[in-house]
Amino acid sequence: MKRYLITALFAVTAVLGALAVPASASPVAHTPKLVLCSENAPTAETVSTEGLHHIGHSLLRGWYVCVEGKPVWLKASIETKTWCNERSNMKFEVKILVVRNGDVVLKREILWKTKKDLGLCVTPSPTPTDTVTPSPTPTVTVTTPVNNPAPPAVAVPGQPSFTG
Amino acid sequence: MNKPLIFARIVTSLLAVTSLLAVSSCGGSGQKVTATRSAPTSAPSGAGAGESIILTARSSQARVYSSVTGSAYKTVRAPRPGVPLTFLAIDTDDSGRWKALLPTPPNGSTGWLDSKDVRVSKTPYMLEIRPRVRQLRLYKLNEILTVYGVGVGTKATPTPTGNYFITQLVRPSNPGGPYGPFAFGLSARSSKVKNWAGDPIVGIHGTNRPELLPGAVSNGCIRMDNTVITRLAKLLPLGTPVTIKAA
Repeated sequence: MKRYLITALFAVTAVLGALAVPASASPVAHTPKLVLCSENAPTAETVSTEGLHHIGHSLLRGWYVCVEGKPVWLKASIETKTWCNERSNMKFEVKILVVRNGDVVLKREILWKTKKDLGLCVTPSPTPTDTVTPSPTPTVTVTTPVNNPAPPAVAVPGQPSFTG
Repeated sequence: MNKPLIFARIVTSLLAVTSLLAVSSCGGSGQKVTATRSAPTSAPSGAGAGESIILTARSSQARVYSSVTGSAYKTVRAPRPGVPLTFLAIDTDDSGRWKALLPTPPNGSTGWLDSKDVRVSKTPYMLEIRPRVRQLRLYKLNEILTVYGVGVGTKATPTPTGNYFITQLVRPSNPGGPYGPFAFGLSARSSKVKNWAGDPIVGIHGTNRPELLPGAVSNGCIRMDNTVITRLAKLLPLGTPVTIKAA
């Protein structure tokens, strides 16, 4: 049981460490120093990630974990976004799945990180179709502002077929 | 008349008066704000707090994509001639697509729309229905404007819970009929109504049996006093979010 916990702890730590990497860093720029792998690291644990929950603009980039004492890059299928707005306070949910001898232990961590925390708010390059509004802070921008209120619905004559 | 019935009618009357006052003051600040929405519907970027983004198709049909990068997998059409095809945006992406609640079954269906295919607007309004207490709550910018006593589905034909939106507004030829003067169609369908000739769309509409309100009296639709549905018909746009709660 201890080994489960240790492995999970390592994985979470690795996740947190990887999340702290600035947005500008590419995966190859990650260095093993972010990974708490050591000779004493648990071995032969299969550690994978599952269900990176993203609402819209996920920015998690993936991370290393320790497998047999060696850092292994777990590539996360994540879209890289470059701008932030008032929704930047979204919560990222990371599930860590630990499999040992066929037994699955699901470790779940909620990371109360924001895009800004992750250093991933980048001012976008405006395209001709984008309207970029200056934000309160230099790194936060809002694209595609919606300023036109929808008018009340226009009623069409007819016979409703609703269930009643 | 027994006491519970008298009490119910007093409550209904008070709710109706309150409703009228509130709706008539929706554009201003006359109505006292009593509470905020407990679980705001997530709004995509571009919308302010308490606002929802509405996507209106540029034509009477729109292609729906499976993902932000996926290919089109179906085409959705307007609910009836003359009615714009509307979606409720729930997410967006830099790539130029919107994720949206679809007006098509099954309930809660989502898909991605190309931003070139839709016009974007927003609404501060939202409806929340609480069948258990026979209430419909009107929100503006996450704040309750008023509460209406309504008719909801019976135990056998309950009003389906979930997140939906208004897809159409119909003006029946007979305003004194069972649908009253106006009927909103929702993106919700009843799975309990059997032998229904058409699409079992859940609606919010008036009634010719106001004495039954509030109560569990319908086939799943939400029935309102005719004066109130008339007010709402002049206020709410297609695409307005409608949350039907289990509690």
